[in-house]
Amino acid sequence: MAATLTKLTCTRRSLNCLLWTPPSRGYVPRGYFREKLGYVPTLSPPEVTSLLIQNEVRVERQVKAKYVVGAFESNQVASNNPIEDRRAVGRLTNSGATLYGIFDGHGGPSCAQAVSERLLDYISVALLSPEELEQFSHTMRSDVPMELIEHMSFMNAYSSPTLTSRWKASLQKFVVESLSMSGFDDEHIEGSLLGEALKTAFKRLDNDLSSEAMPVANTMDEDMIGIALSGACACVAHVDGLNLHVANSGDCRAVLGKLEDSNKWCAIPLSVDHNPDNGQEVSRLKKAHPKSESGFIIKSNRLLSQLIPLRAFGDVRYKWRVQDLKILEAACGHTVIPMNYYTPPYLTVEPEIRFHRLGPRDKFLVIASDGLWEMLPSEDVVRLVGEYLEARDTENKFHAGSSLSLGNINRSLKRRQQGLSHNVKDSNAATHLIRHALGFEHRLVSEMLTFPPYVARNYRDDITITVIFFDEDFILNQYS
Amino acid sequence: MLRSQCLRLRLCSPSKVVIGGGGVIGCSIAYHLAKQGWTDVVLLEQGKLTCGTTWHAAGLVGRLRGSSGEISIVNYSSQLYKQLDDEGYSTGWKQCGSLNLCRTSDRVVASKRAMLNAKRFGVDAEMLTPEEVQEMVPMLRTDDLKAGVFVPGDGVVNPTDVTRWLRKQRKWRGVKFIEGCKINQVLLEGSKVAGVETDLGHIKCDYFVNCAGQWARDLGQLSSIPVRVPLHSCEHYYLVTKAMDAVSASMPVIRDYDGYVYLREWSGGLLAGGFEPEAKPVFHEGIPEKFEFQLLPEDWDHFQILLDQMLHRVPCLSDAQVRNLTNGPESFTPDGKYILGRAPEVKNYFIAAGMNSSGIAAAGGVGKHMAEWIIRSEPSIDLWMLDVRRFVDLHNNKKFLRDRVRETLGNCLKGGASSQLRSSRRVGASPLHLRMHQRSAVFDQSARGVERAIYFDYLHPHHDDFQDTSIPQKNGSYGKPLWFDKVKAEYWACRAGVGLIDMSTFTKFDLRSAGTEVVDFLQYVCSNDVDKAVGTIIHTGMQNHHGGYENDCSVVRLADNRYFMIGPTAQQTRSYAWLKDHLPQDGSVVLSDVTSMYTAINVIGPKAQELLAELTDAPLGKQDFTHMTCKEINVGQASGIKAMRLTHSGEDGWILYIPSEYALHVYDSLMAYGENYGIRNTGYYALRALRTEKFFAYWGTDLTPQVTPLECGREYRVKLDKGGFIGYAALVAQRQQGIKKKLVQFLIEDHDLDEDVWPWGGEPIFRNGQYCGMTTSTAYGFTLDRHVCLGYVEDIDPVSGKRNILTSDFILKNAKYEVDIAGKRFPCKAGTFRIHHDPT
Repeated sequence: MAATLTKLTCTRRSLNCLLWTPPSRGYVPRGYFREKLGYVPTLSPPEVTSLLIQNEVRVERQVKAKYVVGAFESNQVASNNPIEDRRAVGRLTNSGATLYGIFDGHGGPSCAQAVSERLLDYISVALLSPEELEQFSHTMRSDVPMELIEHMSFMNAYSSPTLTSRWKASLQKFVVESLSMSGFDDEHIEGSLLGEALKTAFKRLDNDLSSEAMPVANTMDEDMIGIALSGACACVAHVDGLNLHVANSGDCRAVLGKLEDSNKWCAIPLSVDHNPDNGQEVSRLKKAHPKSESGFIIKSNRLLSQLIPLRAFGDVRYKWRVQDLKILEAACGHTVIPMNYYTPPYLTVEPEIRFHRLGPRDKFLVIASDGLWEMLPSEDVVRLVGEYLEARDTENKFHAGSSLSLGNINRSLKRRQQGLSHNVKDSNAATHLIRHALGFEHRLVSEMLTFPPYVARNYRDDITITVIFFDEDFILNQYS
Repeated sequence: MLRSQCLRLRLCSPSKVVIGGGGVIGCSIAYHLAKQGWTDVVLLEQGKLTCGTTWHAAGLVGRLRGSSGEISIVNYSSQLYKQLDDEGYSTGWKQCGSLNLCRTSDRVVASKRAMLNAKRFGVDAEMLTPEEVQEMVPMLRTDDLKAGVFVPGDGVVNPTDVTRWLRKQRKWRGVKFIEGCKINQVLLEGSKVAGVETDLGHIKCDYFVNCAGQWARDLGQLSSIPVRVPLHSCEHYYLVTKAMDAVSASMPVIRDYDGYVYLREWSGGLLAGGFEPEAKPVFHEGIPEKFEFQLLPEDWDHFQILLDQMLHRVPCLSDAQVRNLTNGPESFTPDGKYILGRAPEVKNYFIAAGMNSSGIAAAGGVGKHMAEWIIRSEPSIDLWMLDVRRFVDLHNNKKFLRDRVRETLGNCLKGGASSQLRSSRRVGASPLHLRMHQRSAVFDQSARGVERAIYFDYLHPHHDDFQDTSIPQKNGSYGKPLWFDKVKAEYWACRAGVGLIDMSTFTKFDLRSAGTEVVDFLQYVCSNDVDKAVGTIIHTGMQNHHGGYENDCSVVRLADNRYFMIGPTAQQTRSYAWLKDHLPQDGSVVLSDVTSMYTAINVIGPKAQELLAELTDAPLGKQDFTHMTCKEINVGQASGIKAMRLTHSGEDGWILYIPSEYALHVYDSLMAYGENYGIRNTGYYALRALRTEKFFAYWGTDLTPQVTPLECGREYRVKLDKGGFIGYAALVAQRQQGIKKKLVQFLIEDHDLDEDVWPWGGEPIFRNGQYCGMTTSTAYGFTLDRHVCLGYVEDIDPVSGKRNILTSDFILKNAKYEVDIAGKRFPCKAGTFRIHHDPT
């Protein structure tokens, strides 16, 4: 099966070279450098740093106190080759709200890639009012369609034109259908409009991924099947003024960093991990299927003994009917149906939505794939970003105004001493976190970065992190 | 155009002395040279006078300092500033006194010791209770103080006024000051100063004085033979506040040693500066061009640790406002002491730099003594602690300096207890270092920068091998030290069994010639007769022209035309320069420094002979291998080892000079065979106890250029009949006239080892209640069971202060001696004390 999956994804191979691969000298057999004392670093400190900062991004608002997000920093480091994590950032043109997504692919990067390219568009459409939908539908087939969203493009991102046009078609279909539905559904909506819109977008995109892959008249589209057979967890934050929504499906995580009155950093979870460790999720699944299956649904701590996340995009093997999967099997010539597959779907993409109203002590939000959370608990992540912020604050020299008393100067200086004491090597919070996740000490980080590909995945997963920094002054102004 | 042309003209005319650097030090040297009659002096300054660091000095003149030399220097400076002020040249001298605070009892002891030392120079000081301190300066917090020391005669100057006075001196008595003139090269003829090449042309001169402050190290490199000036710049801070009500113009300068800060009044407010424990080196890549009247950007974060201490000491400072925070770079040296004297590399090249931020306080005395040094080739007082010849190349290494000054800046205000330096360590190490480390040696860094074991700490096998050796025990760092029992065990190993000391740090020279020229040469530089049979070891002094000790060494005749010379560790640079300066012009004598070629193992003790006999075929009996002889022998499987039957401790034994490749083998063999003899690794502290107890004087502490063999009881090592050696005439004259001081050994009585403060050298000695001298070496004598002190006794007329010719009656008849240890006088016995050689 794995072989075919690779074959199915190989259309992407040419593009994959854009992603980071370890330098060849990283492949020197570990034993070669092994002495009695253990691993001897094969990368120099500057080499480690240059590898870590390769996918670094920092975007900062030049105007202070005007936007809720003052800056965001993002980075990723691969373990799988190619990397299976993706990220997306965009700004909605009508509301000015910003969207930050982390997508953790599995079984290949195709699904995560497709979701990263499409999900923000789906959300933007789902959020449109009937009037806006109407307006948009008029322009969408024209040469200059109305811009719903400004995508932020990452250095290592890519897209394929042929697929993009197909996706455009699907999106247009979504618009048209939404338009025809509008006016009917409003009264049924439970919870917040925004939360529902996010849910709709997730579900609609997953539906589209699924239907695009369905073989039509025994011909199948390898690309689409590749996408649908692989899967992706997704965590998306929607920030609009003080309103922060997080939609999460799978085992990515969003954590808010808050500075308590006691000057201690506190981690506030804004998502729950959908994996077999989550008791509620497991019982939800068991309830949804006959009792007779409860022994098989979660086995070896995996869904149907295979999949760790319990919610995800793609992964049609756990969603489609048996007869559809049989067609697929016939077409690709090997088994895809899991054991004990009786009452599909076993997997859903439906995200859980969390809402948080930002307060003046909320300083940042960290969204990351499970590669980070496997290595560091949320509390450590928040503390590390907090220290990073404190250290950043001391980057600028202290200037003593002539009207300040020496006692006050000393109090400010003492606070700065704390920031100065942090050992922060990186100028990007995400890189700072990655370095700590990989062990921080040079020797450990070097070893983590130079594992040969076939063992790397045993030690660490792909790590993708986006840290969103809130503008303290903006929030304070909203409250005053 | 016109100006530079006319400067060119002035530059072309040769002069006797060129001074490089127009800071307070250079100007003071020019002033004192002229005052002592040398007016043919040109001072070159690359910018404007005082534009380097003098202009931002704090202007403190405090005289309670760590060493006699520094006290004497600063004491003279204060007299000079006062006198100039009296003469109508404003220096801003304000005799407000100093108030030094003691937070710990250790600091109280250190202050008492400093007070006693300074008293000889007429520096009066009194101890105050915390209440009296409070009364004197009400704004101080005193609840955490043990005591205060008030020095009424101390004061401050205004650096701006001093600068103005210096500028007025421009044309003083013919001394020429040329500003805006940068030195490109110091020109040499052979290895002697010949002139200076500047951007305004060149100038011939006989003497050059490098007073370039923080530029001095770089200037030292600007001659074809580079000159070592080991210093490195650091950021250095003081804060000036706006006027404060609590501050009175007459308040004394406050030094809070344990909080590393000082405070003085400054136009109605406070000027508060300090010496933070970890300094910030700067200009590692060089000093920017045109760094004139410039400061560095302020780094409040770095200053915070000092601010914290200032606010602690002066609570009302909390409400004060800042006028400015000054970050003026200053240069600091590897040991926190000034760099003065004659460069060993180049003849007639003098250095006065590295003032460690006390340039204003030092300038007067430094100027005076440097002028003496230049004119009379010797300063009038012992300045060995400040002498540039105490350094070796290692000290001038920039990376070494950068790491070291981080630490030495913080030591500048500390004074008192000299704890070991911990930075820039383990740079040099003997081949036996790791072996000794495994056997729990505690090391200190010798003057040459090479680690040497001071004692072995068997109880703490995994300690940091250069830990602070003055860990306070009961009575603080001046009381009974933690190592007492360890050194005692090592001492007894050497006296009753066998001990092994790594002596590799000693300076070693090889001297040879084709014929017997080397014999003539050594007869000229040494005061003892060295023309002895091959294989003989001769202890000899090398005297200066005044008969004082330039060096104290052992000379071994290896062949008719070849000698091996062993000298003190600290003398590597100095004695090499001295010998080189006196070598025959024709090059007939070849001098080589072979210090690093040999590892020296001292096998000491009554069982040394039996042990060594197991490892060598050479006959070792007292008749076959007599005392003070040297033979080349095999030890174990190693050959070519120079075995010398002397131990520098008065015990029987050998020092084995081993080509370094074979050192480990010899050491391991000795330790393996020595096991049955109870061999013990031994450090320098035990050796110090051994030799002090036996009244062996050591160079640097007991023997100085101001001491002659007649004064230290070494007449028997001087062969006046051979004549014709350096210092001969002075010694002959002294023998006729008599001596004015004499080295005496003292035994301290009624001293409670555990409770009383220990003598550590530098304690005043009283004869029948009259001050008569200072102790030099001290050690606990484990056989005599008392503290043993060596010290010079003088017959000082109590009225005139004149020193009379000494008689042995004065020393021994009707004389009751006391030694004052940190304010407590102990009776002591004078004389030479025989040690019974069989301790059982």
